[in-house]
Amino acid sequence: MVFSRLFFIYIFLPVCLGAYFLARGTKMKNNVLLLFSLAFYAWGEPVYVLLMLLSAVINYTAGRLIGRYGDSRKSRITAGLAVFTDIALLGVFKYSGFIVENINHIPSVELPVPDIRLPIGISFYTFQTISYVIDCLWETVTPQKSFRKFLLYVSLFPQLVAGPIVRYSTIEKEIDERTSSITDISYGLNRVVLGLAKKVIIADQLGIVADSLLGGIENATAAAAWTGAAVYAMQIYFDFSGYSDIAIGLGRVFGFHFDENFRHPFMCRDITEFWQRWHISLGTFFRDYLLYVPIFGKRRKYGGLFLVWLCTGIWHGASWNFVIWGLYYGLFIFIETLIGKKRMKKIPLVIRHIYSKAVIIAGFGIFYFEDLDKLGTFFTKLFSTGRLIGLQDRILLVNNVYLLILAVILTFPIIDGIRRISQRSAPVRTAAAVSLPAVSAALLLLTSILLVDQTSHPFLYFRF
Amino acid sequence: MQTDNKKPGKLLAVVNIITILAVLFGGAAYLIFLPHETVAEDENRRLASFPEFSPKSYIDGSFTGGIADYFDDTVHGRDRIKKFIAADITPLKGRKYGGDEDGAELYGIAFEHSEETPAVTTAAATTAAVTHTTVSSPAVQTTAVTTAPIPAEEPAAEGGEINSNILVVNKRGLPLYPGGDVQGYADTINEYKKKLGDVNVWSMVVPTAGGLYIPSNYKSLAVDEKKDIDAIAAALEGAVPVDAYTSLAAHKSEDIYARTDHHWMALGAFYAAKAFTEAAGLPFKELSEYEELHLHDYLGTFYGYTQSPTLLNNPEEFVYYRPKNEVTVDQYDTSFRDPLDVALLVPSDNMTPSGYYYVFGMDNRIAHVHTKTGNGRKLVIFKDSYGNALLPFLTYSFEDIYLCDMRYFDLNAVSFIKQVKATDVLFSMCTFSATGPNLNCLKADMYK
Amino acid sequence: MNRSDVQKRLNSIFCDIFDDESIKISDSTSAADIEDWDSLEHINLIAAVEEEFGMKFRMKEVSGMKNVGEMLDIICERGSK
Repeated sequence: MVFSRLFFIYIFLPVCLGAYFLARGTKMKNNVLLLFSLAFYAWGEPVYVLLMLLSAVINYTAGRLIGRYGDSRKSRITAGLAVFTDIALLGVFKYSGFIVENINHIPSVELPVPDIRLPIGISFYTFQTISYVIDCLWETVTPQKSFRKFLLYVSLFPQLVAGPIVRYSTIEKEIDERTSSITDISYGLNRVVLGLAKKVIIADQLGIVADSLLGGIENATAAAAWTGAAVYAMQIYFDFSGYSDIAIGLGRVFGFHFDENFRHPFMCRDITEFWQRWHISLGTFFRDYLLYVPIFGKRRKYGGLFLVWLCTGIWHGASWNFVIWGLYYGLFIFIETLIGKKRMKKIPLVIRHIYSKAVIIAGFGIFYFEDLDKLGTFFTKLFSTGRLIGLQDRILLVNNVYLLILAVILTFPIIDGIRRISQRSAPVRTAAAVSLPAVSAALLLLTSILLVDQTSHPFLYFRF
Repeated sequence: MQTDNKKPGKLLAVVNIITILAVLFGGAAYLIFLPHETVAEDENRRLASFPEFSPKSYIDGSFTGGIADYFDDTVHGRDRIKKFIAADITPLKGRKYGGDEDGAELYGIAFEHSEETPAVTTAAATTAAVTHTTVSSPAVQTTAVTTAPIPAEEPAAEGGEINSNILVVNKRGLPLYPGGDVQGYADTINEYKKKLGDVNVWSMVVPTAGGLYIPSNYKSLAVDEKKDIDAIAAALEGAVPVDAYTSLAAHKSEDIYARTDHHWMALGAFYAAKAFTEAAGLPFKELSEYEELHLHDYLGTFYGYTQSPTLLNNPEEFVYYRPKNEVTVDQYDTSFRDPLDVALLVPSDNMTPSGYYYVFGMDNRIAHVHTKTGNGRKLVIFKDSYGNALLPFLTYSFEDIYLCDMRYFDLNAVSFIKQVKATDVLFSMCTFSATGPNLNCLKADMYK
Repeated sequence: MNRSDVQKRLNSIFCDIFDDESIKISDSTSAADIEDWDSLEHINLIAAVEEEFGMKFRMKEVSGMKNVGEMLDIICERGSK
């Protein structure tokens, strides 16, 4: 199930909230959450829910064993086996088709390509279980004794299908004891509405523009390629960060405090900073568990860097364009490291902004085009000369001008700004606080109205 | 988002929670208790129904998924909500290009036929057409309606769809012609002529609204339809081209093309039929010999696809004509079997404004019209959906007319023409069909 | 090993790695205090410290170290030169 549909917002969520707040005590609340989380997952994956359970059993057992063996070789072997199994499951269910297809490029090799559908959320929950096992080994967390609580950590529906990757340490205490204060619930609900609005009102509408601009890349002008990729970058941002907002908001309603996953990434001044603001939970995962793996000897700084970016790319999808995408970012971060922070700072801010936005926008082109031929065309179009902008692009941009302006404005930390101003000015504070419920309700209604249209099957193709 | 713990802050938080929960639970009540819709008229389909449980439907996810789809798809007042979105929300996204009321809106992945590189005509255009062509999604097919008021969606024909890039300008939808295989069409018709020998073979390629109405400042968005029509006429050998373009262009100011649909109107077909019968030297009756019928508030396929507020606010009058002479009409399946006695024009009762075009009948049946003309002329028409509207206007000109859609034809076309002892064959279709993917059907019909 | 000795030697490694003679480390110094101390420079720092003190950090230590104090503790415990 996804969050941005009426069935979730108006059937699943009210029932879940009702049951959760009727339940007394953290234990009962945990049971309610676990039940709804499993139902949520099984709704979309009636069979693969077993795979998630299997993964939970394996990692739970590993955690218990590590707890028993303490700091010993046995613990390291157990952790190694668990992590290996996690990666193997991910490999089989996410990458086997891709791997076999590429092996088949070797002459005289003709393996049957396995037809395995990707289980929803496997990339996210697998990374959570990996982090858990390693944290147990490193003794940064105490292995969870209750399987139910561990399963709740793995399957918690707010972050299950689209992240963020929540560390066990984040919820270790709250899974045993937590309260949802009135302000928590209020904040959480607002955050959920904000996330839904970002996804449905902004991202989905931007998607139409991006597809129009990038869809006919063969005939695109340089301006269309750049704008198309920029619009797509914003689409992905509002989509993904909207989902993170919903996850963080729902978590807060239930009394959990998840870490932020996005911090206005387009405000960055360089690519290194972009990745400190974009999908933060993935970046910190790779930093903590992969970057320092000592397999590159003396030069492990750059070895580790490219390993991390290779994995970041692959994590996003089983396709070459994602590999290229990851290494592309790795390359720019490598260059920035060579230049060094101090010298980077001496470059005028405007230039750093232009450079970083250009790299990011072109990067999202790599993300968009899974077909490598089209990706190649895209890059030649980016640097093509000739007509600056075609008539069709001008019409499209004018047709969507207010949407695009709004989207650009919203990439800036507007809400933080309002909050800052309202801290200084009492009238603004009152106005903001009083209008908040109305704004939230209006956004939720608008989102819902737009969702009615989502099941439309327009005549995508007309017939003569 | 204040997280102030002081008392007024807390009160506001409570108000906020109550407001949002009111929307959530109110919405839940709306979704659960209000009657569910069953049909989407503007999309021509039956909405999702509550799924049936079976172990199989559970395991493949179609049961749980179906429940969610059911609630999402059958929202009470869906049609009104959708129209509200089109009329009041979509326009907030931006402005029309180059004008307030009559400005341009663009839908789809428009390909631009650059004026600055006129040299790359056919080659570039063909690539564009091919890359934009996709087979329609099976999901849409399976939800098609089969009951009376809304006609069933036509079954998918191989390569039968053309990606719809639509320009809405001057309150009119215009399909943007991507160009295509002009020589391929001419070769195919010439081959038909060779195989048919003495039979008169006519080719009438008609423009779409785009070819007639695109304002000069938007011409670069599409390939010139007139140029391709002329190129086809010049490449025909033995087969005779019929120039419908000139007749249609002469009547441009009349309502000869739908503004909200990708078809022409009956009046356009009338002028084209006139051009054809004049070229063939056959009798033809003016509109006085027809009964004029009106349907109101027609919103055709362009609206369904674009949800354009401009089209929504400008529905049109659907006018068609019934010949006063008596005709008998039999409908057959695509292998010319199982005849059904039907009327020339499908009764429009219970038809929804988006389905009006179906008064001309469906594409996936072969129709045989027998008239009292008694002149011994037998015509076989191979056509796309434009051809349906021609039929009523040829009933004073031919004794027998066989109307065949090239996409839904399971016999050998040449044998069929010979079998019914046709004196004339008319290939009549719009430019998109002649030079686009539908051409493959026309070619294949020769070898079935 | 003498902790203040270790701290002096460590300080010069910091100055070297981060190319800044003005760095004065203390137990509470963390990555937030030294601008160039990011996750990548951390690798260089670790490598330099390992070489200087003839020891190896474990991965959990490399990854989990919160401040200079923790690093000093580990060096004092396991450093061999």
